[in-house]
Amino acid sequence: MRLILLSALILVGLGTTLYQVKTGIDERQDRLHRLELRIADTKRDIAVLEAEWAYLSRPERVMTLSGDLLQMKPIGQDRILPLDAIPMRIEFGQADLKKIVFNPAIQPKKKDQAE
Amino acid sequence: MNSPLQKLRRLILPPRPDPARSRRIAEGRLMIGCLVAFGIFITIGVRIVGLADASASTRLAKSAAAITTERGRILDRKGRLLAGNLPITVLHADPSEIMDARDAAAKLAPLLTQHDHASLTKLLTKKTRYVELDRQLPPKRHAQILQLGIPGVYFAKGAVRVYPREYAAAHILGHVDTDNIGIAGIEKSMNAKLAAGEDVTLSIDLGLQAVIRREIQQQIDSFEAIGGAGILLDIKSGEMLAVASLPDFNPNQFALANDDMRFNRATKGLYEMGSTFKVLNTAIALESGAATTNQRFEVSKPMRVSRFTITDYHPHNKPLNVPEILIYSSNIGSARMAEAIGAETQRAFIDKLGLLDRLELEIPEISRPLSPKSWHRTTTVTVSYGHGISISPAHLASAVAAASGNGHWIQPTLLKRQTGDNPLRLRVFSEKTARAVRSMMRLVVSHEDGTGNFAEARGYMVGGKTGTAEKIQVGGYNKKANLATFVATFPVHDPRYVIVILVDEPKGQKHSHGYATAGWVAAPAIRRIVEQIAPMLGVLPVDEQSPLIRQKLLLDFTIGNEEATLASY
Repeated sequence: MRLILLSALILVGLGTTLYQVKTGIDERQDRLHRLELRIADTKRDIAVLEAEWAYLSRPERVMTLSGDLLQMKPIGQDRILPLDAIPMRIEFGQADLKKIVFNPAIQPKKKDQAE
Repeated sequence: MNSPLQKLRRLILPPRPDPARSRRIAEGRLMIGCLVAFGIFITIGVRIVGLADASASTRLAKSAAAITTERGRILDRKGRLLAGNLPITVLHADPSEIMDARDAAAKLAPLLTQHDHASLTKLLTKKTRYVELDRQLPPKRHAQILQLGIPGVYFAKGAVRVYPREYAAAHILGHVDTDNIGIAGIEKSMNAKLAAGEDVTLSIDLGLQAVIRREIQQQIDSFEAIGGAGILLDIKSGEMLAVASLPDFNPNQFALANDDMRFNRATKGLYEMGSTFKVLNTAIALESGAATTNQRFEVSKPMRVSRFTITDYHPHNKPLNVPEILIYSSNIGSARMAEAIGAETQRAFIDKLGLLDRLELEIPEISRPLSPKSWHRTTTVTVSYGHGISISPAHLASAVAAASGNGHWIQPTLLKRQTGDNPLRLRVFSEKTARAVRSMMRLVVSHEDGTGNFAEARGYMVGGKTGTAEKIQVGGYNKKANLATFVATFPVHDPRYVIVILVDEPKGQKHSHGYATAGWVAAPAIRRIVEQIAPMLGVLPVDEQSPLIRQKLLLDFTIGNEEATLASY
């Protein structure tokens, strides 16, 4: 009698666990599907944004905009120098400073400072 | 209550329970039974709803999976999007489920752009189970149609192929049909890979492509030409960094493009390249030992070869050496060099440079050059200055890359090379020959008598060769229809890039003093292109007079006046 009762209990326990596992799997599968859906949706959104960005960053458009709005031009070769073409910094004495011809535009200010 | 009968009964049977108490117990039991039954029903109910929901989400997940395996993208060498997919909603209907077609049509007509009431009614009364009403339904319309609640009308998610950069590299990208199957360009040749959802990375650089396209377009406009082509080739890797063919088309509106726009002049167009071939002729002559750099050839009299007479644009009354022949672009000199080379040797070199066979690029739009079957004396002579053989601009670029680079012919490609890739490499010319050739190409641009002065982009050491060829027409050559070509190598002290520019049928203009030659039409485009792309490619300007640069070039040529050597070039 006790044996029957015990095995019945075990059976019930096993049945419940099996059911739990099964429903658990279903639940997880659902979650997985929902996540997959969200990923797909996000991917679609990304695709749209990427295409839009690609369209807006067309070189022709950027060239026109940078020319019209920022007055940008291709860099001339005279503006490109390798690093070692730039002379090393020279330490100036006070006497040397006077020899330097300042930019005429800012010269008056320098004079004021000298006085 | 205490009758003797009752006493007797109490002796035999257990005492009778209190009716009120047993009623309570019964009620309790009933309640428990009810609750259990109720609980079971609730559980079953919940499970039913849950299962129904689960099957719905499984269905949705399946449709999501269908979307994720959409066509792969096409990217440029820096990973910028050239072709991608845009999600769209397809509106379709099942006419057998539509109860009142006229009413449905009346409701839908104002919301659809492609159909009116009559055409919708016709569609919705068809005896099929599927009619497509709109392929690209905007989200707002989608919501409005949902609100109409017409039974039998369905929405499906789909994707449409988009080319967000519009005209950039349109010919290389190609196109897909309505079923998203590639029908041209990379879309066709790489269809299997793309259809499997894999991305394809091209060797094309979007920025360089845009610059080259714009500059060729400008030359076409200012010389009223009918078309043009341009190629930028990386000498060391064989990668094509830019391939432009004009007029081009917007692949998003492929149906609007005519055949001329769809034609890829850069890889499929075959042209007699004219004097640009003299670069190859010079290289072959030096390599085969038929000439040395200071050997002179008689050019004072027109040369007769069977029924042809070969003349020079500017006649010279004294023999010219090899660099002079290239700088002055002497046809007679080139012809004499070719005769010294010999037909067989010349053909062997032309073959090694891949000019007798189709250039195996990764697009279907390639063609086999037109070359004579038997290589006669006339062939040898005319090929030396680029006639009698028709090749594509891509052919020219790869051949000149071999002659002016380091002597290797490298299989060109439209796909980005991965590290570890080992492209086909053939040694055609020696290092020494290539160095001499590019030094001479530099003189074409830098020497005051050179034909390519307008290509000079200061500091970037451009070398090149002009080619102005009369176009073939039925029965001979058309003197009025020219093909202006320029092939350039830069920087010549450390050759890395080859540019080919071709302008088809330019007309002489006031601003060019009536000239429509390559020196006027194609060379200025080379200058502007180099000035813009050199900083993009990381090529630094150099001082041409510095000994470091000069020692990398061959300078012991005598050009023009015997006394004035190249010390001052």
